[in-house]
Amino acid sequence: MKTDDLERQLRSALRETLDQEAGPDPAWAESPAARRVAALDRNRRRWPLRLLAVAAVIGAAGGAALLTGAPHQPAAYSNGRIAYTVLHADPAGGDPDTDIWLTALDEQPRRVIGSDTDGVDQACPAFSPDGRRLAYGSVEGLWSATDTAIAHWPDYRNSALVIADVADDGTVVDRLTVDVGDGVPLPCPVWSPDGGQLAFGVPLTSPINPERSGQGSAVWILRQADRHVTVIPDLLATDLEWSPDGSVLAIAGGPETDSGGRVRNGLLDPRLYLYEPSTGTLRTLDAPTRVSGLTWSPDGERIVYARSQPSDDSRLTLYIIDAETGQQEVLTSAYGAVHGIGPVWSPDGKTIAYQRSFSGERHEVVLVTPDDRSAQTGLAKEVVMPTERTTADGSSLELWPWRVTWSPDGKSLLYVAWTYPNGRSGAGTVEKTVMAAVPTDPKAPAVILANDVLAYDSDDTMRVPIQIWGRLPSN
Amino acid sequence: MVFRLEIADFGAFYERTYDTAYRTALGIIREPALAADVTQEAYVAAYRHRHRYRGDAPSTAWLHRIVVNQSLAALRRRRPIQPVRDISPWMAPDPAGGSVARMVLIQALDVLPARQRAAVILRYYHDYDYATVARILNTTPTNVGAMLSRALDRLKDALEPEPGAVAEAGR
Repeated sequence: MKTDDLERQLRSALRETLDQEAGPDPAWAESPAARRVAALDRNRRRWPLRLLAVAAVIGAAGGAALLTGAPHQPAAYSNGRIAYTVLHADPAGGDPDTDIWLTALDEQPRRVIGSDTDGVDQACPAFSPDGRRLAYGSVEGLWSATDTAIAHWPDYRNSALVIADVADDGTVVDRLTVDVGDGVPLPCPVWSPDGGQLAFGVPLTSPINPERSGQGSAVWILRQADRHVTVIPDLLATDLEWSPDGSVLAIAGGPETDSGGRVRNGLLDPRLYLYEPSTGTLRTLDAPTRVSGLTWSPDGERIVYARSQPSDDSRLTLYIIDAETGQQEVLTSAYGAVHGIGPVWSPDGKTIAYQRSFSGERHEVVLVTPDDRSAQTGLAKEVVMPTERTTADGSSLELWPWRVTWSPDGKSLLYVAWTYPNGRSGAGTVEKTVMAAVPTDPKAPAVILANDVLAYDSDDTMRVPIQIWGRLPSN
Repeated sequence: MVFRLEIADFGAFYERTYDTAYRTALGIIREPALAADVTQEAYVAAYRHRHRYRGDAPSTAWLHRIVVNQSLAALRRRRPIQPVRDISPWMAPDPAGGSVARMVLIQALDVLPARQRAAVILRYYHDYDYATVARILNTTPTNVGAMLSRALDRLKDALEPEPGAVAEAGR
C-alpha cells in the first residue's frame, strides 16, 4: 500500500469512526468535571473574603484603640493605598511573573515588590491594621509545572512570608523574612487586629491538588516580636480570620481525606474551628457543617459562613451564627457561585457582600443586611450591585468581578473584574481585566484604578488576595 | 487570570469542545470508559490552568494538548493495550455493513505506541500541521514527521504482514 493511500484511508477511517462517538457527559452542568471545578472554586473564592475580613479587622482594631472600654465597636477609616498582585505575561513566551503593585485614587500604579528578572513570584499582599506594613508571600518555581505535566504540583522552592515597611511616600522596604520551606505554595498571611501576629495556611496536601498525597497541612501563627511560630497540625484551612478583638482565630477547614483513588474529593467534614492563642485550645462549633468561607461581624459577636448543600456542593447558603451561643439562622436562599468573595462583612457592620453566579463565569455582587429581614421569608434583604456602571467621564461599562474587597471607609468595593470596552459583552468581544473602585451607591461613578490587571489566580494557594485596600496610616 | 473570551465561559467552552476532546482521548486510549474519565480530568486540568492559556494558539489545540497529555499519562498508569483481533469496542456498529478495511485499519492502530497513536490522531483526525502536533507533543516538527513515518510503516506492516512478522504491542 502506498503511503499516500494509507494516509487518505486513515483520515477517512478516523473521521467515519470517531465522529460517530459521543461521550457520556456532554452537558457541563451534570459533568464530573463541573463538580470538581465547583469544589476548586469554593476554595479559591474564599481568599478575597479574607481580604475583606482584614479590612473589617482593621476597622475593629482601630476602634478598640480609640474607644477605650468599648473594644468591639466597628470603626471606618479613611482609604489609603491599594496593594494588588499583577501577573506579567512574558512577551517572549517565557514563564509569567507575579509581582506586587501599589496604587491609590490619586496615584499612578507602580510596582513595589519584585521585578521581571528576579525569578521569584510575590503575591497575597496584606496591609497591617495600621496601614504601615505590608505582608506578602513569595516563592520560586510557581511556573515549574509545565503544560506537559499540567496536572502536577509545581516544584515550589523557598516559600517565605515577608513583612515590609511602607513609608509615607509609598516606598516599600523588606524588614523580615520567615522561611516556610520547599514544596509548599507561597503563604497568604492574615494580620491579627493588633498587628502582632500573622496567620496563614500551609497546605502540604490539598483537595485542589489531586495528584498530591500525604498529610501534614497546618495553620501557622507567627508572632512578630520573637518570630515564634505556633503550628496547628493536621488542618487544611480554606479560610482564616481573626476575631476583631484578636482573641480567637476562626478557621474554616478540616483534616484531609483521601478518597482512595487518584481524585481527592476535598475535605472530610469541613467545619468551623476556633483557636485561642492565649490558651492553645482548638474547638469546633457543633452546628456548622460543610463550611467554606467565613467572616466575623466587626463587633465580634457573630460569624457568617457559607455552607454547601449535601447533594450539590456547588450550591451555597449563607448562615449567621452567634459565636458565643452557637445559635444560627439562615441568611440567604441557596445560590450558585464559581468565583466570588463569599460572605464578607462591611467595615460598618451593616452589610455583608457576596458574589453569586449570574451567567457562566460572570458573577454579580449581592449586598445583604443581616439585621433587616423579609417578613415573609425571614431571610436577609438583598440589594444587587448593578453590573453596568458609569465612570467620571460619563462612559458606561460592564463590570463582572471575580474578586471583590471593601474599602476601609466601607463606601466602595474594590473589584478585579472583566470589562468589555467599546460595548457590551458578546460574541467577538474580548474582555479586559481592570481593577476598579465601585461605590456601593449605584449612581456614583466607578473609578478604573488599573488596566490590564492580569491578576495572579492560582488554585495552589486556594485563596489568593489579589487586591487589598489599606487604611490611611495617619488616620 | 489571562484566559481569553473563548474560554472565559468555561461551561460553554466545555460544551463546544467536549466531543472532539473525548474523541481525541478515545482515539489514543481506545477504551470508552477510561477515555471519558480522562476527558473529565483534562477539563479539570484545563480549568485549573486556564490562566496559562495565552491565546497564542487556538483554544482547541491548547485543550487537545491537555487531553493528549492526560491520555498518555493514563496509559502509563495502566497495563499496556494488547493488540486486539476483534472489532474494537469503541467502534459504533455500522448499519450499512461497513467497510472491513476501515475496521481493520482502526484495529491496526493498536499496534502503535501510544505517542505515535496520538500523533496519528492529531495529524489525520484533527488535521493539525506538523508544527501544531509538535507543540502538543512537546517535540519538534521534524520529529513529528519521523514519528508519523514510523507509524505509517508499522500500520503497513500490520495490514500487510510479512511472513514471520510479529506485531509489537503498543502502549
